[in-house]
Amino acid sequence: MKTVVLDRDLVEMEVKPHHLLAEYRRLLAQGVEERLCRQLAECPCPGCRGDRHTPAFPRSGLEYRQCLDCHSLFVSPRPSEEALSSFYRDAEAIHYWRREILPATREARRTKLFRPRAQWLLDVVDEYRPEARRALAAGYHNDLLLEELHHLEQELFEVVVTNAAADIEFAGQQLPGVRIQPTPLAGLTALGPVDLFMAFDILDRCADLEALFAAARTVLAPGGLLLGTTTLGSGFDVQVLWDRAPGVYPPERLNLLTVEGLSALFARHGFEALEFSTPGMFDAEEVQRIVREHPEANWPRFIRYMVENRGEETLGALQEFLQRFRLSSFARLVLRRLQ
Amino acid sequence: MGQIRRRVVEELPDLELAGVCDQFLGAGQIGPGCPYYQDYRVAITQVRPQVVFVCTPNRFSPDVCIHALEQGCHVFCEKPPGRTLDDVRRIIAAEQAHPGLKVMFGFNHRHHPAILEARSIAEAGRMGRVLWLRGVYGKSGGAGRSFEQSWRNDPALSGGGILLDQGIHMLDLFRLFCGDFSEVHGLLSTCYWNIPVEDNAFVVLRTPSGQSAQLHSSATLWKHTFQLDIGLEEGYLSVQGLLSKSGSYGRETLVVGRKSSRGQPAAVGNPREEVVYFDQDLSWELQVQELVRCIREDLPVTDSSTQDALKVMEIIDTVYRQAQVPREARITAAGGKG
Repeated sequence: MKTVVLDRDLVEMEVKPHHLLAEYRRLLAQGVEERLCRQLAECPCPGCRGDRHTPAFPRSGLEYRQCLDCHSLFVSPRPSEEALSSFYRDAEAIHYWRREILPATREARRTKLFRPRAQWLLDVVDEYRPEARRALAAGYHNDLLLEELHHLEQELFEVVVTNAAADIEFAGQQLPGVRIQPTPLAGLTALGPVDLFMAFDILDRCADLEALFAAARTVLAPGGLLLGTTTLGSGFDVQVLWDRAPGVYPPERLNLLTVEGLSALFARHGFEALEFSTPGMFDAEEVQRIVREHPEANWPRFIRYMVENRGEETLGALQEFLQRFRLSSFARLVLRRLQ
Repeated sequence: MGQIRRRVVEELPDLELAGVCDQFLGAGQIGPGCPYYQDYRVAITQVRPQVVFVCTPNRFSPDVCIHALEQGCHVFCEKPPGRTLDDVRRIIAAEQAHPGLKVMFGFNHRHHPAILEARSIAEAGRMGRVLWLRGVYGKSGGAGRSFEQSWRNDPALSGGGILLDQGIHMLDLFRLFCGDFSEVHGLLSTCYWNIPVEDNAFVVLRTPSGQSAQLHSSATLWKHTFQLDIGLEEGYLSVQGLLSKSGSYGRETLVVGRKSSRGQPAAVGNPREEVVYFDQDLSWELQVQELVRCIREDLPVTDSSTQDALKVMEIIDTVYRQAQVPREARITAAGGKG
């Protein structure tokens, strides 16, 4: 298994302008309270399946719990996949994201997030599955990624995009070899076999991770790869900021597994990790920002000292340390389906 | 090395350890249930193995390899493949006389995880062609003066110094990324240790298509070092550290840097980098698995083959021959001014 550390000239504001994000999250919270707080279902820890947990904190009318075994953070009780699919198609917050945030950040996202991700994805395929012919993209925000993949590689594998809002994401856009087919989890197995299962922006927001991994295992050919990204509950900013962490909000962050919880999940479903990295770039920056915004809060003494007395260089070095030891809250995975 | 090979043989399900031959260990040190011999000829005659792993000092390797081939055994031989170029040619002659048998050499660095990933990226071609290589591989020689007593520094047993012992791995990797070299320029020195072979070697090479490579192989690098830098048209790769039993070469990493591209003018001269950390070295297992595959499927050995051994020994032989010519004569021959 390998771990990847990234060094890149990226500041959070470029891809997440705070003034726009604040409005987005306000609309999201409002939408969750109005549409997603009914007909909820209890669930065990989505990482280790343990049923021992403790209340963590409430958000937008939903309750985060912490698993007492693998320490993952997760929403329970939670809305169904159907309710979430409907939400991602037409909630006001989602419209706002598409109308305001995406256009404002599109080029920064393309250059600094999706182009490197496309390069990484092609490198992974070259190394572990050079014969790849078919891929299934189950997650969200695939349009820029697929554009960049096509820019880098003319003869790309065929891709089926299945998220609930895929037809909206790709409206008016046609890429060769890309098929748009919104499909519920239960229907994914009919789309196999595929060589690659792309799970970007889905693992943390999926209502039923157990079903997602079962579907991935079924739809993937033996030796096929699952490539994904997710937010981790064991990451530095989540652990330090906890109930004040801006990145912890439903419905996009229903599952904030720890490294241990996520490892238990993929091992249980017959996957081995080829890469498990936390190449996040914003933990330290996020902690600095929130600690400064809330000086009255009871922050750990060391964190407060560091934020008040150290500058950018220290934060950069800390971020690199977090990446190197899998302690950032953004995870990147390459899993191989075992025989 | 024999102990490492034994572990691999015992761990791989395709292989079964049939016996151990060692002149210096006693049967008691080999462990129960394993036939033990002091003479490799007796061992091969009595055990009739399918594969012989040759983990001997360089002086003995060619004779053991050739005997094993003559007895109908496939051969896995540690690097270097003998003391001289002529040693490799003798092994090749024996191989050609037994075309059904496989011979592989222990260039296991090819299978280190960072090298595998660097190769995959380079061969995919998206970073353009390889322009140049720069390798540093060295060790301290150990505490006190014991290094001076090692068989590795006895020319009668080893045939050469640090270049033949350790630098050979880096030269093999150079060939892996660039192919064969048509120009070889070397400089040897014995600057610290009291040994009759080189403790430092500097080698500069060039391929017919103009790719250049530079090696520093050293027994006076007090901090153990492995670094292979690969310059490509669209970026660079740097393998640093090497997973090893002692861990003294540092954690194995691959730095991937991509030249700045559209939309990233600020990154000129300081591009985005990825550092990949590796946790597990399966190089020993992967190489032997490949030999087993070649034997089972009767495929020609294309990885760490006798031709690979020959080509890398040709480079080393050229450097050693250059070193024997007086400096003034070389300068005159090259048309330089000294």
